[in-house]
Amino acid sequence: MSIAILKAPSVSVASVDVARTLRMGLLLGGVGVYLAAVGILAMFNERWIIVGLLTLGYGVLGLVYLVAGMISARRGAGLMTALASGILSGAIAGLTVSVLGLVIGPFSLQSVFTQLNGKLADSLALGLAPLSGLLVMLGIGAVCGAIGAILRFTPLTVRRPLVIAALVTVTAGLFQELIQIMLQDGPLTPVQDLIYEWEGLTAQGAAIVFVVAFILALIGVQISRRRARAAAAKANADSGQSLTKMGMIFLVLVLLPLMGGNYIGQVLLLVGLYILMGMGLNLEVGLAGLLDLGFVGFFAVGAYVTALLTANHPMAILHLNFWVAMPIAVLASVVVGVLFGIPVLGVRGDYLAVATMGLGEIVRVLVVSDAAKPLLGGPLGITQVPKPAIFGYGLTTPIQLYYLTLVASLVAGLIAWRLEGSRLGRAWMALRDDEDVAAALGIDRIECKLLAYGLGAAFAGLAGSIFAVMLASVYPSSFQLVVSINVLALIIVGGMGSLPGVAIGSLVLIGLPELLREFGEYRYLFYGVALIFMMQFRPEGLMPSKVRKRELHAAMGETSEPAVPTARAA
Amino acid sequence: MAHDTILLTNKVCCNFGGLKALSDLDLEIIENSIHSLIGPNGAGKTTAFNVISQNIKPTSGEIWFRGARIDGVKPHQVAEIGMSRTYQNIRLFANVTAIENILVGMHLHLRSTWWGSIFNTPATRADEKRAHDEALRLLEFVDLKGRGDIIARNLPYGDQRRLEIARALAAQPKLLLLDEPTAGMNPHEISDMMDFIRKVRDEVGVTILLIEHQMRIVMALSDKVTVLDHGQKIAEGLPKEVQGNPAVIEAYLGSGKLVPKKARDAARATLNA
Ligand SMILES: Nc1ncnc2c1ncn2[C@@H]1O[C@H](COP(=O)(O)OP(=O)(O)OP(=O)(O)O)[C@@H](O)[C@H]1O
Ligand SMILES: [Mg+2]
Repeated sequence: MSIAILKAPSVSVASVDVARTLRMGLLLGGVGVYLAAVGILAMFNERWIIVGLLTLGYGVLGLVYLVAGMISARRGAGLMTALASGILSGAIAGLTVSVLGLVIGPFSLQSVFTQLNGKLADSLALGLAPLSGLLVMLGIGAVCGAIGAILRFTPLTVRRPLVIAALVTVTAGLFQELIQIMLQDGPLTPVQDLIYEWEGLTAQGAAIVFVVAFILALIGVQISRRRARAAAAKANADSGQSLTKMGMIFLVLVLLPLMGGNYIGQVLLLVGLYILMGMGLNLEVGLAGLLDLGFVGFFAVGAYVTALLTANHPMAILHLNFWVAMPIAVLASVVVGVLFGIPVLGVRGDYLAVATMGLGEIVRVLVVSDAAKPLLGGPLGITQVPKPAIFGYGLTTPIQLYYLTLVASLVAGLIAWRLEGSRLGRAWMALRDDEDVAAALGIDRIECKLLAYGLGAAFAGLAGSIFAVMLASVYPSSFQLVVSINVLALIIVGGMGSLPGVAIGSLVLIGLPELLREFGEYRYLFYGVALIFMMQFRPEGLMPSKVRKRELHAAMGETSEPAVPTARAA
Repeated sequence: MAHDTILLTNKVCCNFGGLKALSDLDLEIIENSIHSLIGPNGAGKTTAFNVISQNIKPTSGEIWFRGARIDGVKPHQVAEIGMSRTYQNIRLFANVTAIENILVGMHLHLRSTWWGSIFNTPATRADEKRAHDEALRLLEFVDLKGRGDIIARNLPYGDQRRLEIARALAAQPKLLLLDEPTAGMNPHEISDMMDFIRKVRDEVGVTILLIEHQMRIVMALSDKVTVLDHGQKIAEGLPKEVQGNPAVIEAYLGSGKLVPKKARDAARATLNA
């Protein structure tokens, strides 16, 4: 087929690779069917992106068709051929999805797929009569597929702003409640009136947001390209840039609570706690290269020690001030961290992840166990942990506590930053890169690893301490494996070894899903999809550290040096 | 043990499963000498290095280094007593700069503590300053002046070899183990490397144990040569003595009939180079 194109580009439409296009259309149609069958579509249809015009559900369907068009259109084949394949495969995908709607009526599948009900059939037919619905859906598929195909041929400098603008528009629609709260009653009220009505974006508003975002993104892409070129000219220019990046992120973190509301405060506090834990785990994973899935154990120790030392509860041993109890809690976490490190000293790589996961679970199981019940309260936990105060000024609201986590994270970040460039930081780098060589250079593996566990645990303990005051109580159910996984995931998404990455990762992975709470368990689906896309397209994370980025790309076989000759000259 | 012996191995064996990679190896390295370890592929030379540096624990036998028995000791402790090495396949910290590689090598001789680093104390700053100056000096010594900020993996091959030696020297060893430092080099680079190895011995004053394949280099550099084959020492002595030794020629040639004539000629050329 490709030969045909080379010979006669004018008859390109005839040279569509039909089998492949069909396959892609069916595949993506299958994705659409899946989304409908598990109920995501129905749930997403309840949410407007543009009021009266586009729901999140149809938006997602459109995206699916667009992807169908995009992957069936091949660049080598010429625009017309690609367009034809895009339209065809988008239409096929649309057809597949609407066939589901047609099938639901006569054949009752609801006993197996509870979501396949009449309402879904209706929404798959776009509220029209079944057959005309099918035709319209086909048309929508074809249009989206065509757009996908065209996107494929758009230069990156335009495509990226288009994608960004689309994302911004969807975000503006999705988080309308939040944004409207931010905009109202301020100097920005006219903006709110212009783009929103009470349920979401208006059509006009969406257009405005899209165009503005597109123009800004276009300018942004140009600037960043120019800057990248300038930076390539002088080698070491970007250390200053990462400092400005860090400053900007910090500024955003300081200003975020101004968005107001206790709910936002709660979410931010959680984000802050995860930033703090991320800073700690970053020492272990990012700097020392020790994969740790038992991190939640240290967090638990910090929380329980704080509760035991401060709570107005029969279980408490003492009734200390928070500021006295917190350092003790941190110290206890460090001790546990070191003890925790000892059994896994000789374990490397993947095994380490499993071993630490087991140790973390041990901590949790011990806490719920009957043996520890008289001490730690079993599943009921310890309640009535008092809030801290500074100079008689109580830190009681989530936002106040959030600022406490922010200050603590700043200190943690400073410590991590100082350590990275220190003798110990270099030793960690060496251990991470090649343990044998590090040892041959006189680096004591045991000492360095235990320091990493201990220091990492300190931050987790601190976070746990604040967590105990945040909830005013501690229960074993708060210390599940998923906490460790979250912390690790946010580091990976933010960028291994990168301090601003920890903040970004925490905002994206902890903050956003909290805001999407109404989608219930499907949040984790986003989470998974986001992680997969991340690993596929930006494996170094959103804001990678330079060294880790190089390591990663080296590991993936993109060496910039010529192959090393190994043959021996005779 | 004579007082000028820096390293002594006594009946050292190393088995990998059923394979006897080293059997009853006796070595005596004299202080300030260049001692070469040669032998055909798979003879056990690199294994000998691994065992001496305690990267691999010997199956049996004793190893004495600077008057202390080191078999069974942790590898970082061996480094502390004054042994450093390079690797046959260069093992730099490829993703950090040349300077940082050397700084890791200086780990043993820096005094800053982690809490000192966190608070950035004057003592830590002084220590780091000293370390950087020393690293720059070492870079200059290995002819990499001005290349300190280059990421190690982006250095040319020959520079990587010398950087690896600089990193080893940064640990201030008394005994330096070099595993085929000229592998993959062109003749011009090789003669530079030979001069450099002599310079290291003479100016830094370290003893050198060298694994080398090319006879020309072995002949020109070594004070003493040990020949290994199938994990066993088959000859030892001055370069000239070893070169003419029938057992050595046999080892390099293989068992006559099975080796094609072409390969035999190549081996002979290697020996006579
Ligand atoms: N870690 C190991 N595990 C199992 N077998 C090993 C190991 N290291 C080396 N060997 C085996 O021991 C033998 C000696 O290997 P060694 O690397 O010491 O040879 P060498 O003399 O350095 O050879 P070359 O000239 O190819 O570098 C080989 O048969 C090798 O396969
Ligand atoms: Mg070898």
